[in-house]
Amino acid sequence: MNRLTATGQYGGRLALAALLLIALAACAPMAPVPTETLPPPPAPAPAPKDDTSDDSIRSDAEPVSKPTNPAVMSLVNQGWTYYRQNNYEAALGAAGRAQRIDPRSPEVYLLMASARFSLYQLAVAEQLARKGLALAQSGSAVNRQLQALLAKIAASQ
Amino acid sequence: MRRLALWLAFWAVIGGAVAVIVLDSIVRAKFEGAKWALPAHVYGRALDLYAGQSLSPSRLRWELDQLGYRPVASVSSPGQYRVSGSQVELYTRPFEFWDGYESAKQLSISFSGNSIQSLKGQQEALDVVRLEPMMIGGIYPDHQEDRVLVTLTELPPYLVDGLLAVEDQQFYRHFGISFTGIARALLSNIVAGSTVQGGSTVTQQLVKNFYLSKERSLVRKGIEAVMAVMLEVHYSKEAILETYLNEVFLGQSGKRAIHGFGLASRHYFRQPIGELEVHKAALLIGMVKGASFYDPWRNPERAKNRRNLVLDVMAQEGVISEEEAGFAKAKPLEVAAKPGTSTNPYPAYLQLVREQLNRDYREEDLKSAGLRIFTHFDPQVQHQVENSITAVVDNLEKGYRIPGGALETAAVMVRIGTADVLALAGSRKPGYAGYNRAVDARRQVGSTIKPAVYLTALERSRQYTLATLVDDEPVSVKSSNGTVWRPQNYEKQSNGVVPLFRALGNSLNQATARLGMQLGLPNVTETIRRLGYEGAMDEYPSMLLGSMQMSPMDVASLYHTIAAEGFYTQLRTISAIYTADNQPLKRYPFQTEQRFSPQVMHLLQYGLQVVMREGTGKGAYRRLPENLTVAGKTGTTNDQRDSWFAGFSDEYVGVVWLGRDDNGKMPLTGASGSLQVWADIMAGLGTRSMAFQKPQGVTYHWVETATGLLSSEGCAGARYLPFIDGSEPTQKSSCYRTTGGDVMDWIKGRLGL
Repeated sequence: MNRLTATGQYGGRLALAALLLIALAACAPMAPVPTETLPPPPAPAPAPKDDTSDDSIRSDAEPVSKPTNPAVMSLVNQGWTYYRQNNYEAALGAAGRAQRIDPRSPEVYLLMASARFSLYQLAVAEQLARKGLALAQSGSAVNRQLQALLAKIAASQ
Repeated sequence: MRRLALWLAFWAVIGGAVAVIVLDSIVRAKFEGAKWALPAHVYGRALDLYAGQSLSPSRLRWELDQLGYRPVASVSSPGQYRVSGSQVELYTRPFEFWDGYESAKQLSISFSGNSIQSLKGQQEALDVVRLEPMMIGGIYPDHQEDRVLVTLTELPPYLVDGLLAVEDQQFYRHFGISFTGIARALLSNIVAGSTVQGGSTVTQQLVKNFYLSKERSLVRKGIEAVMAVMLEVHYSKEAILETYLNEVFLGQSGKRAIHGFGLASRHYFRQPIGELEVHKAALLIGMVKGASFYDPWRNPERAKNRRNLVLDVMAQEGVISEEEAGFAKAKPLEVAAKPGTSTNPYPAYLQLVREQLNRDYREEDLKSAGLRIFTHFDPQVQHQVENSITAVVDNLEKGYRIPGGALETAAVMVRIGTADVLALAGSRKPGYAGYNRAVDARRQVGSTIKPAVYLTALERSRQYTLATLVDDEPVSVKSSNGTVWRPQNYEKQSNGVVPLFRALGNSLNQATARLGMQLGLPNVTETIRRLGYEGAMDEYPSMLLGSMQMSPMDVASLYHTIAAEGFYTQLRTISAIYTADNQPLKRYPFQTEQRFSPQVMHLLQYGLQVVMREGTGKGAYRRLPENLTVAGKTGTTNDQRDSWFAGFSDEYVGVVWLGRDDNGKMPLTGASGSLQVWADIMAGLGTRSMAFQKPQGVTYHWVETATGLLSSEGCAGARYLPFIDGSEPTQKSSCYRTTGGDVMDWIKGRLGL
């Protein structure tokens, strides 16, 4: 069967765990050990062969703010310049161009939602902000800005 | 007698005056209004270039060649490029975009493998530069005249001066008609032994083409002369010359007539008029005399002789030096390999554009107002789709001994997130302008609908998870009209009790039918509607296995919602429409609507990855790199009449249908047919793995798949599955330990992290 490699993050986690375990071994009571470093316990139940310890398809990774592409940032900044000039159509145009380069950038949706909000298109703005939130890392600045915008939209409705 | 003569003279004067007034009003009315019925021109997307972009040097070159950029040894003006190793020097063309004029830029692009590493201007680093979009079609007036208007200032001076040297040397000195011009033309023609110059002034030629019929008579010649004088009285030389340059007939392309130097330059050389070198300008000037007779594709020798004659006249009249003329005469014609403007190279996509336009605009405006229509069409993706279809479908016919040409196909490619329709194939024949199967063919969708059933289940997270055991035993459903429906698995076997993700992965009909009946047909149809299907749906039990008919576009819409984490966006073709003078008429900015939670979509996307890694879609990896993560679903209808595949990567949703127009049987399933085309397209595009990031509110747990109980890493039969928080199993298998996945928490606790 196909086995996908575990995500890099998970591999890193195991390595970190192994290192910590070595450090803890001397001073701690017998620490729990990741199963992969031990022989597997006797199988308690028969299982279909192809499901054995399958960890192939997975994503532990939460949305992380990967460094935004400079092209996207440049277009988003250009869009905010239009926005500040109350030229919301042009702001939406710049955001659209940035979105085509990276449709998963929450900054793009913050700009789109803000422009639509300024055009009093509240329902559209709300959905765009939700889209941004779905892509934004929790606790990030853009996440907070999107939350704040949603609150403003809710207050205007 | 004298009185009669006076009387006649009086009426002649009156009659003449009336005729002059009438002709004058005709001259003014047409010259001052919209001079021509201008076709609407449709453009593809503009290619953005930026560091980090996944674009191979060969794809960039392909795009540049399509746009008529010329490879040169040294880049010095717009429309030129030079490739050296992994470096491309490029001088972009200026273009009037929606957000303003983008000036020509000279830049240097460094590639690292198949992506752009850096982008530098002459001094500065550049964030993003765009190329002008490709023209992909037009909507033409009934008389089929096509033209791209140009202003005098856009033209190279030697083109204008050369034209006047050949056609009307007295242009700036006469008042519409020129007697010396006629005499001079006569003389030159005698000297040359053939007609190199005409006697009519440019103004007369304009009157003839612009106002009058093709009839040749003395009266018409007289009217022509009077109107020429009228034109000169009312309008400047520049206005007359500019109108002439845009009016003149310069060729025929099928039904479409090529008018004006602006379009002719694009048609014959794929270049904007401002870029034309002397030898190319001379060819167009020569063609004024007879565009068909001097057609450089059909009659290259004749065209070249005519061009060289024009170059001689240009040198004689001091427009260019003798040396320049000699240099230009030594050059080949250098016309494009095939016409740079074609009426309709991508008819399937254009049909989609027209359908949307016809909803918003009057046919008359589309055909005459000179609208500029910008679309999301991506010629590179289209090129890949056409290549994959041709290669794979031919091979399938050979491999499965299907009579050649029996199979038909349709494909749709959509960018995930923006919902832009990037490419569309309505037939296996590229450029086929007939039946558009991507839009108009509604066929049973088979198992491609199953994700909707599983989505309906997963939304009820208290009842159903990916680990829920579902029953794959035979099932029979009695419908209201008394017929009994007994679906069977493709392999004609039952699998007992299987976890939900496995039932989806292996596309088990019995399990899906049972699950769907438990959920209720109205709930499943509601899910299909929320995913984006707007057509009619009958609530028959067989719809759970895809008995409803949809077009590939419909299916693409559903899968886009799945790929875009539950956000529905209507598929988009047009991005903006501009008037002939570049005023925005309508923009179609992005909007979206959350129809499903990102959490439930994460679970469904997991299930659709199982399809690709372990289930019916794994044949894709014969063509795809092993480390590429994609998701999708096969579909095969009864007796293998339709082969479907719908799936996605990071950037693209792709839907492919294969079948016969007569709805006949085929030896192909979704996996052996459409999936192969889909995988070939995705491999050719060099797509990235889907993002598949875990949203908040989803946690992975080890579960014993045979029992659905909580398990631990390393336990036999355990699998790491995503659960919507609170829906994970609470009962533990005997192998479950508080160790394993919890080790980090334990360590973190110890260290106070």
